[in-house]
Amino acid sequence: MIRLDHVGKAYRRGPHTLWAVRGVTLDIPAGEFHVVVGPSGSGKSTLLHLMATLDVPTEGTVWLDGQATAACSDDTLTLLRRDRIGLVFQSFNLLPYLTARENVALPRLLQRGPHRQVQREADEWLEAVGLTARADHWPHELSGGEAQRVAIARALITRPRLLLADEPTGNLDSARGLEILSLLAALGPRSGVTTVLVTHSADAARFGHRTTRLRDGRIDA
Amino acid sequence: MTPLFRYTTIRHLERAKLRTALTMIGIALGVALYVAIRLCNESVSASFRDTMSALSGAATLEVIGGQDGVDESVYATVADTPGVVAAAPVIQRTVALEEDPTVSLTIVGVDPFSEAAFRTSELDGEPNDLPEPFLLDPTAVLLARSFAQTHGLAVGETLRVIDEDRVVNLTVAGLLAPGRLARVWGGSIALMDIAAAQWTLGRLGTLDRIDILTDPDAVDVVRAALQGRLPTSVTLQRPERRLAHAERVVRSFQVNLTALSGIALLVGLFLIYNTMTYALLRRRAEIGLLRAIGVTRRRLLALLTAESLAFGAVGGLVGVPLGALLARAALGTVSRTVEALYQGAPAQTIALTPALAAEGLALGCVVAVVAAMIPIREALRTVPREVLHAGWVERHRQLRAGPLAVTGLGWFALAAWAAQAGPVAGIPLFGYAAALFVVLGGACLAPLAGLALARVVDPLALRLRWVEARIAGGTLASTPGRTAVAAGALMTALAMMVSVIVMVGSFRRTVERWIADTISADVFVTPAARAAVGPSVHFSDGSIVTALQAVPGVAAVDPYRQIPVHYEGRPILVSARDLTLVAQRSTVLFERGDPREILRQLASGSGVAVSEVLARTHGLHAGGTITLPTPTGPATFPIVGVFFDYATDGGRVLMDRSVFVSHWNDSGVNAAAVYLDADGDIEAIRAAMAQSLAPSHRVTMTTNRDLKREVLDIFDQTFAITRALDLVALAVAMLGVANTVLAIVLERRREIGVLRALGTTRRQIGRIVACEAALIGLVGTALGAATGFGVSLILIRVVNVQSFGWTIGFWWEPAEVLAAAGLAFAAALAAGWLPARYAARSPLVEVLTDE
Repeated sequence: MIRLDHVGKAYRRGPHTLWAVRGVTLDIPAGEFHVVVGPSGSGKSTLLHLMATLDVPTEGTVWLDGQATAACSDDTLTLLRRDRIGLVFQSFNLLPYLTARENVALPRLLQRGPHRQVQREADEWLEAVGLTARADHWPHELSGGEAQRVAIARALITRPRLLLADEPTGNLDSARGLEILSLLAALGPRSGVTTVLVTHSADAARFGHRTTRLRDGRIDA
Repeated sequence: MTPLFRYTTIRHLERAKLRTALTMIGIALGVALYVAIRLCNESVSASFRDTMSALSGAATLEVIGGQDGVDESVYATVADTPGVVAAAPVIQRTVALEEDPTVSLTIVGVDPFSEAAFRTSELDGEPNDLPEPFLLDPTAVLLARSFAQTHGLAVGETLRVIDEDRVVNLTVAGLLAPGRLARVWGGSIALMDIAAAQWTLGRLGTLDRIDILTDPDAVDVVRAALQGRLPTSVTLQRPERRLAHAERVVRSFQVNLTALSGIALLVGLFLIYNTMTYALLRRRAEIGLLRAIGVTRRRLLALLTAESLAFGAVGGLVGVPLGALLARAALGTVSRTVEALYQGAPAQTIALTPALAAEGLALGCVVAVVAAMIPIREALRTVPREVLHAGWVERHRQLRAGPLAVTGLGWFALAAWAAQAGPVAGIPLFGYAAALFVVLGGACLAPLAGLALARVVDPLALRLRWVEARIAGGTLASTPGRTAVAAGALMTALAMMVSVIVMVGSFRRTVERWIADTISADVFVTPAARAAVGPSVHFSDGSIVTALQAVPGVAAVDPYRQIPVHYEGRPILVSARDLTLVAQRSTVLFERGDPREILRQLASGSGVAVSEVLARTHGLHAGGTITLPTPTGPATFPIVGVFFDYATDGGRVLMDRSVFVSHWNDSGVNAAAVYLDADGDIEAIRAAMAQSLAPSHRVTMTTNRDLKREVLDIFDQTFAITRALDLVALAVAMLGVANTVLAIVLERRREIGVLRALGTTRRQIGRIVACEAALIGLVGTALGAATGFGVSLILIRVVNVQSFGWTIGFWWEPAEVLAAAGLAFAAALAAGWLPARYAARSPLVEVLTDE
């Protein structure tokens, strides 16, 4: 599904070049729940951004569904994200002026899906994350765990091929964190989506099919 | 500069360069406009002062006459009066150049031997050094060197001018050295020996003025001594009185211009308010932190006030020189208007005094600090724990939309109250206040209007599957406080545009109707010098009427006469016409009563009619009386009607020519209104009239259509400057919208990043931001148009009536108002372009990791 071939990302800091990620080669097959674990500053978020096509590698190639992302235009990458990638962030990033249902529906609306059908799909996904009763609530009326579940429903409503979650439990207490991880582990395989979870918590590894450990931007063998 | 200021304010301004610059440009434009108008007004006043003082020289008193001037014998009486150090007779007459009758030249006849005490230094040498022909040749004149150069005239050459309706040959005897006297009226001055001037200009035995020099400490004593010796037909006064009168005449015009220039500052006020509000919103955590680490409220107040002061100071520093540049560009228009309306001298120089520069700078600072006070007060009121909670301010502000709308209604009520109050010292201060209150009221409705619009947009966008509009509508609904200020700025600018359009349009339509009803003659014959000199020029007797009546095809001639008189210390005009003819072929618009019946009474000599301006300013009414000064002493006339008159804001008395001639013994004619036979060939009759008049009169013939167009051209020119002011206010509002949308974009960088990450294309992001600008534009445009009508009502019914005294009907041209609204909306869209571009290009990862 996604393949990273000697991928590296460098940033210039004054006269110095700082490699956030270097020489990462990774092949994640379709349907796998893959966990990337590493301490703060290990380059795991950079790696996720490269997979999400939010950033371009300085060296190496990212292949998504057999397509090299470096060769794509910005618009193509945007549509790739819209149609094939679901993203879950640490800080939920729900739009404050949309209700839970509207937040979930947003990516489908961006695809210009028919309103009624999109509403139905949004309700189905809210039901899947156990938030039917909160559909008409505003983001500031939701707890952290609920907000993250809405974010997961939003990420999955377009039925992406790839779900990328960046520290989704980082802003939650441990009990809510476990609920979210369980939800991701349950929903991912059920909808046939390839899931990549980036976290600093070693405990999360037990939810995945496979784990990659990062240290100082490189895969820690 | 305190370390706190350096570490917080300066760093913050450095990071928000674009928004800081937009705000400062906004203030600079507001200040520039104010300074420019003040400079133009100052320049016009200075030109009045310079002209008066250059002409009056060192005189401490002067004797002036009425329409017929001062009898020459008075000069000897004045000169012999104890305490009079020197006296100088003066004749002053404006003529037109024959080669171009639109160019005026003012001939000042002086006695070279009396001049030494008054204006000798201004002449090219001592009296004895005057060129010999100056004293010997009755046609000799001294021209200002600049005028001679402009018109290619050399010493010894002949200059042909038109005095009233006859050509006069003058000889250039010498040139005036550049100096104060040579600069008055832009150099259009010719000095002549007084005897030659009397002879050449047909003023034998009369003078226009006698300048008197006394010991400065003895002015009152000499004045008292002269009062008893002078005939009652002349006026003894200080020369400054003429200046005061001239300044009073243009004051209303100047006050109106200044008030309009204040609008740009008002729009700038919104801009500062907006910038400070969101600067503080963005820095809420910083403020919370500063409070948390022990910075007192008072210190924060000083810090933030200093910050707004910095905005104002920089805006002012840029605005003042910019204002001087604008003034240079606008001076021509303002000066031409004053010349056309008030026969003022052309203003040519712009002098930016340190006092005015300081005033502009101070104004920028005051506006900035006043506008920043509300957001600063809000920021200081908060407790540190609260401000660290994201979004609190917006929620806090959202709750205020309702109460704010109620406050808006309160402003409207206050406006209604202020509109009822009278003028203060002749200036409609409460009228302007009412206009301001209407604008403030409209601005208070902006948040509620934003929320209402968002409610309309949401289902509509849903139905149209227009997700960008939904997101933009969502922003509008969730941040009404944020967007309302920008909408308020746009609203203010548009309100002023619409109000001026409606006011000018109504006025124009009123004048159009007035001239359509009252200008009925087919051809108007005036002395050729009228174009350059103004409406005071006249044929010296009624022979022209007889000559015109004899032309085949001419059905009737109405001899129009107009003279200035003083009524209760103010200048008014007395107009005389053949009112029997007017009743038959034209009309006069009266406030009430049957025009034909009133005209019949006037024609029979039963009384006079007064203009509504005169009636208003002096409390006159039909059925009352008016006492006017005539050459034979004061005469009282019954008032039989009050008529509309838009040709002068000074007041006018209308009477039948027979009444006028019997009281003033004056058979002069300013214009002959000629009615032609219905089936006559206008061109052939015009040619015949020209041929008949050619030997003895130089005239201008204007057709009915051309005269009407001329009147409307002058009207349009008068209001050209107001339109220009509107556009600057709109430019400032545009900056406001750009600034706000940019603030929204900056505030929502992360949100935009999320949208991009979710698959929103750059183009869609651009569209969302453009939609937001459009929605702000819609709110501002709708409120601006509505408020504009309210302000126009105040301008027409209150400000105009108190400033000028005219009755103006309420009328508007939908296309013009729509064009202004379209312009404002387009300005909002254009203002959204930069932020939309900025938003679409924001680097994604940087935005998402910018926690």
